[in-house]
Amino acid sequence: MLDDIILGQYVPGDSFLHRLDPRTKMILSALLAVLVFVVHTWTGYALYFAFTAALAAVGRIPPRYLARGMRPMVFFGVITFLFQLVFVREGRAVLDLWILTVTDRGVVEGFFMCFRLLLVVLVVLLFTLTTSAVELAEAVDRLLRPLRRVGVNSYDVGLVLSGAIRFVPTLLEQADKVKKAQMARGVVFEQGNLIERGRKVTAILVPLLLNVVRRADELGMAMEARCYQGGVGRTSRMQLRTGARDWVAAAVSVAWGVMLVWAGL
Amino acid sequence: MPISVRGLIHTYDPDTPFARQVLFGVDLEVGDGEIVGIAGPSRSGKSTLAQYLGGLLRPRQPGMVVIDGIDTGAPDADIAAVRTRVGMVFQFPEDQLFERTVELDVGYAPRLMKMNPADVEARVREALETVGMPFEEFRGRPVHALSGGQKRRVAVAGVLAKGCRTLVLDEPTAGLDPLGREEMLELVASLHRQGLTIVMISNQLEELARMVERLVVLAEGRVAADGPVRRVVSDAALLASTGLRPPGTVAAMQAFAAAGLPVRTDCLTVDEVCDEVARAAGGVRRA
Repeated sequence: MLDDIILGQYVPGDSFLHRLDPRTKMILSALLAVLVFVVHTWTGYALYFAFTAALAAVGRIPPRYLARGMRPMVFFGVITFLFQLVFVREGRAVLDLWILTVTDRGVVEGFFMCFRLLLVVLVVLLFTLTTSAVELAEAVDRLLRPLRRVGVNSYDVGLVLSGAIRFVPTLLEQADKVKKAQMARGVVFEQGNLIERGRKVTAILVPLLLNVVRRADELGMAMEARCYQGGVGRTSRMQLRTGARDWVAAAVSVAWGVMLVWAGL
Repeated sequence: MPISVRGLIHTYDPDTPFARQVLFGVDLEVGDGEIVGIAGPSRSGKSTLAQYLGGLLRPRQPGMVVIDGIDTGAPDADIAAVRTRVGMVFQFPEDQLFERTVELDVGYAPRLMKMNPADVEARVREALETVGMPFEEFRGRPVHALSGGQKRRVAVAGVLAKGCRTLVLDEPTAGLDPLGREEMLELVASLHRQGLTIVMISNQLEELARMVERLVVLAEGRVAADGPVRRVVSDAALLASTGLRPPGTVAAMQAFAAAGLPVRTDCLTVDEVCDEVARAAGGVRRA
């Protein structure tokens, strides 16, 4: 289960997606994520999915790897689906269970919400899998730079954001190590009722939390030792360049989005 | 409780762009009551192999790991039984402590085994005394107020409390100061004297040479050597090819030999070095 979380991984490569300006990728990903909430027909979702699949192919992300990364989301997808079943009241009733009424509209909405969730995660994964931590930090810094006038330190925000995402794999590695150590002491995590399982999880969470706090403290100290002061007066080795391929990517994405909206899908 | 490993292979993150094979067909036998060292440079697959010996990873075909007659690769294997019999002490085991007091933490495994409180206490007492921490003195201490070396010994006690007869230790002395290191090595030696089977993993031949009878050298996921410790640590060609450094005593003897003194090079202690040099130099008596 822990192995399946691929957020924070970076698949090195030099595909079209990898070579896009990270700012372009970030803005287009955000637009795509918004678009998923505009789409409201089966055809629309099918087309949207086809588009993300095409993106994955362009970025040379192995489909099986991506599918594995989506596995942990299935649980949330199912919960979302059930919520819509219970709470959507409009439409014709297809099932009547005491105080629960499931409507045809609810079933459809359930599927749509579930698709939306999965597709947004897919878009975010495609972005993080093809963008290195340095690029991500640089992109956030540059995009937020106008906010410096109102006191936002864009460099810090970029660093914190990329740090947060990039430390996910490290955290998972730590969690796996502690989990194995407790298994070696005889814990079987797959057994027991809910309360017993919860108690077993503390055997992972407490050591993990202690490690994380200590690690964060050490990292902060190391940064201070190297005179970190939030990028004031600092130049970057990485120069972001927007080129022809960025305009192509933007044109294709926007055209495709406009088409979806215009066709009323 | 014999352990038998045959043709073990392991790949991390299979089917991903990060796939990385670390074990390429490892064969290893560990008999009852043995003390075996596994040495190898970083990324040679030592820690991965250790997790198989502890039943924490389960082999895929065609690899096979049989622990005390249980084939851990079989889907219906009683893996919990394996983990009870083999104790695995990870690198920096103090990171796994989580209870408030020493007594509670060491008693975690016996409590999971649903032993009654009196038996749990007896187990905890025994385990703590074994690692040299008097039960009455340490039982109520908060775990996080202990020193690094003490925490590590509590962690070892927590594994021993399962009642295991085999102990697999992954770099047990990593990050300890010289004194803590000596105490840890003495603890491992005393566990072996008490009849436990020991598999100790380290990248320091220096400490393995003093501790173990048999040494296995792992290099690039394969067994590069497996034999009596004296023979393996004095095999200069082998060590050079694997990137390990011989113990200081062996290095000294090799220097004497290279200088033309007719000595054997497989000395493991300073005393042995002195005796051998005295003998070769012809009747020089040690003061």
